[in-house]
Amino acid sequence: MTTAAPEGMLTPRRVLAARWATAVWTTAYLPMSREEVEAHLVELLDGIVDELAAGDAADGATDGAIEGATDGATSAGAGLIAAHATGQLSLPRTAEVLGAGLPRLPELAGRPGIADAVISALGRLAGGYADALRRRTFEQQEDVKQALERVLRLSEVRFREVFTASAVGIAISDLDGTMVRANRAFAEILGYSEADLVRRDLLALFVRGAGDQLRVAYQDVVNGKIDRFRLQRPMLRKDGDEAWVILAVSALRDEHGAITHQLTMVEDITDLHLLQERLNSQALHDVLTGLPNRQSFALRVESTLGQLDPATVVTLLQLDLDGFSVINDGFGHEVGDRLLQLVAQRLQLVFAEEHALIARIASDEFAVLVENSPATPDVATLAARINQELSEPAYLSPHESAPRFRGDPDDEIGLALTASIGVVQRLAGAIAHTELLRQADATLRRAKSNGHRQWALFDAPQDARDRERYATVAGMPGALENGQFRLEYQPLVRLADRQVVGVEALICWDHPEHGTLGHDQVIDLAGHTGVVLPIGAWLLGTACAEAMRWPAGQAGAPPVLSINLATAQANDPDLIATVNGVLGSVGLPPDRLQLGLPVRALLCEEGDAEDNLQVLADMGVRTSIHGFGGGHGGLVFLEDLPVRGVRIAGWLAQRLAQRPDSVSARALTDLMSLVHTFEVTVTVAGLVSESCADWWHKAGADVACGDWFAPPGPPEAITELLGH
Amino acid sequence: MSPLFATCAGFLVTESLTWVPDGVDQDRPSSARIYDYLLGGGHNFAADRQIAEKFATALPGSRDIARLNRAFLRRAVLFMISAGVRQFLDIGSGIPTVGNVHEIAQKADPESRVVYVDIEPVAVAHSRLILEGNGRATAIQADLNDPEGILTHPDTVRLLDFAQPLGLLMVGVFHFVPEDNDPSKLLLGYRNALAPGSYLAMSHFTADTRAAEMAAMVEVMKRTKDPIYPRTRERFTQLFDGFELLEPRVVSTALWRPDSPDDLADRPERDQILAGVGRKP
Repeated sequence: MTTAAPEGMLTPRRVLAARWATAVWTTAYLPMSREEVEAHLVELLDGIVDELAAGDAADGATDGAIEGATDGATSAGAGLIAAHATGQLSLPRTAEVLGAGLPRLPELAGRPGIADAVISALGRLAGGYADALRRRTFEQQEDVKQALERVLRLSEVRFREVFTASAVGIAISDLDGTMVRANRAFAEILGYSEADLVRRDLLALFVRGAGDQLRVAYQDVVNGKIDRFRLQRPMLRKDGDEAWVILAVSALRDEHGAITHQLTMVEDITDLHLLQERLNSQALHDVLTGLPNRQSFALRVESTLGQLDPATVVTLLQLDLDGFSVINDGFGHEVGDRLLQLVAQRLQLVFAEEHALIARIASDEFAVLVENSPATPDVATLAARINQELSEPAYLSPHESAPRFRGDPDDEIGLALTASIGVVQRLAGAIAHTELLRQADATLRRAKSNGHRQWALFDAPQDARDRERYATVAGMPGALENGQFRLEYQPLVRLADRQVVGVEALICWDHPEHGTLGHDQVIDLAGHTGVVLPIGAWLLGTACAEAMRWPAGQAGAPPVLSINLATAQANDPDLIATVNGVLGSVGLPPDRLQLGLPVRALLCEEGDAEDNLQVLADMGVRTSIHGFGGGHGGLVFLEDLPVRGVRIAGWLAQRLAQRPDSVSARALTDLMSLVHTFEVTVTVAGLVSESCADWWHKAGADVACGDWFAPPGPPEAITELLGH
Repeated sequence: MSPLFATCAGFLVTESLTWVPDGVDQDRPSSARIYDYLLGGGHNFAADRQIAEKFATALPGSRDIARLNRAFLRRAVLFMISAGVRQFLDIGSGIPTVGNVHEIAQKADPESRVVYVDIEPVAVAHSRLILEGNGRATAIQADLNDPEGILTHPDTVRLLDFAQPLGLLMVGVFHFVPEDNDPSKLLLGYRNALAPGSYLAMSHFTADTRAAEMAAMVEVMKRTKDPIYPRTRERFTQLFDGFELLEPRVVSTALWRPDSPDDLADRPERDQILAGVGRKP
């Protein structure tokens, strides 16, 4: 390289290079500093100037030169491209600056033909520039294509890898559902080979029914109505088994966006599906014991009855653990839970030899369905075995998780259980499962009502009676509203002078099917349910209103209205309010009402009977105790409570009247004289004859009623009797 | 469910059942290739050139804007090198056209390390082709909106030491982030990963001036994969929260520490992209 002046001095050539740099600097992004650009252009300029100065390239350089050969000007053109001066104005500004500047440089100025030589040089520079730009553009296009291809190849390879190696089944089908390609996973899920699947109808691979539903969804994808869908459906394996899959379906489009294929991806969730089923079954199982629960048991009984030979005998046992709540309350639920697990195990032991289904159907109830075989023991033996097994004490420590038998008794609780058992035995074909379950339940209730450790076999006549009874009770509230109840009145007579001193109100029910039910029957039925309270309140209200109409009889004052309360009424916390309300509204003085409380209610430690009696007495209501004489407790109440009368229990009165000389009768006589020391009146009911009345009078009774004097009658009968 | 479904849903299929991932469609213009064309490069396809011409018509001076933006990148990198930074994370690097960061940085110090990040697969493949044999620079395909993915990428972790100051370059790229993506939060994600003494260089389209032309350009870019969301100077300045904004703070690209008086001629187009460099204290 030749430079006309020492480094650093601003020679005319350097000034020209600087002007050139300024001219091209803003025409394109030149990836270097301004100084670097200038230094680069100085080099290019040197090549051009040296060549022009030598004059050798001036002639015939364009016509004689071989294309591609380099000279200073051509190289300078390429050099501009190398500096990335590729802007639209890069070349014109170069020509402008150099065209004006080169001929004026001292080393060239005045040379003959310099103008032509400069034009020629600029032409070669342009040629070199164009050629370099063309090469560079080709290279860059080549580069970007190569990059694109690399990406495409990579994605193609990746896709093939994904398609081939994926654990997800992938199938491509055309628009009518014919498969074009399926990967190995897809084939394996269905047990086919990949080749097997090509040209098959994809939807035919689904379980019948599932495919038809899918056809619509596929059509929506093909029509572009939806982009994709995901569903869980069963497919049909080659071996006929079901394969549960989650399928995701989407459309494949060509480069113009038109849908050409369907892409179906399936994930085998058969195992998951089975697990799900198991989870569902847990909803049918009791978590504590692992036994079927009530719902599951009912289903299993139903299917068992349906599958068995109709002539097979089935035995359904329903067990209730006696007093189990005591264990839960006393030792905690943890102990109770472990005991239940133990019961489950022991029941399995008892029925190990049988074809039996054991279930836990309520917190402390179990049920066992046995398909009887010739070897199946009879019902009594089965029940005995159950209770024998259960009564074997289990030793449980409240802090240990597993129950143990006969462990160290020092820190453990030994618990033995008994069960009440209801048993039904039927032919499988002769009974519906709901009825079988109901009968077992009803029989268990009956067994329980007999006490602990009882078992009962289903008893059809008893069952019929029970059911009728329950149906009757269930009809009571409606009967009350419909006016099927009415009251009858029976006079209470002072045995000493046969004067009517009181009137007892009795309820009757004119039942449309069963005829008229008397007072004791109605109260007995109603006593089983809460319906006794509204019925009792109605009786009280109606009778008090009626009593207002009674005239003063021969005794000089209107008779006292006597009503005997049922146990539930006597214990009713609202009794005082009810009585107060009735007396207030009808205006009956309290001392004209006598309420009898059953001795049974007073003997019971729980309940409000004793308080009620006390308050009634304070109110001025006459209080008495009925059902007296059977036990030992009655006398205590006479001592402690403001009781003005007792009534001998009806059953006792009847029996004693038949055996007037018995020891019991003498004891009763003594009892009545004792009662009299408390200044308490003794009433006896159900006297049928004059002699009977005499006997009771002698024995010590004060007041009596019965058909011997007057049977129960309608309200007007009493009014008439009193009027005489 | 397997993530495969999401990936496969992005495949296109042609008649011959060959697959092209979404984004590798040469008929769909890409901002990286449009930028390349505006810079005078040949790494572009017909569709890119068509949009680039429309871009240039809508926004006169587009080539200058591109040039000045590229020049800002160069000066920012050189500034960071002078400040001792020897590692760079260039997000939105685009087509390795001219004056790439690794060329600038490794010319100054051959030990310099550079990780290029772009979302456009062809740009990344292209960068990798160019970087073959360069052990201190690489390119990864990732999304600016996924700091986690970029910062924990194996190549990032391999080449960059986040315990040392680093030059984070987001030149001409943040205007592709819509406001919905919470740009401030995104930047926080990056800032938290940087060691004190690290630098952030950003440039960004603004419509504070020539609003009508900018609106026309924004319309043009809506036809590409990369719509543009210009921001005000105020909003752009906010993006440097947590960095000390170096003088001359936020200015048009040409005015950020120019190294030639030729850049200072008064032209309106230079105001379309704002630039700034911040230092993490």
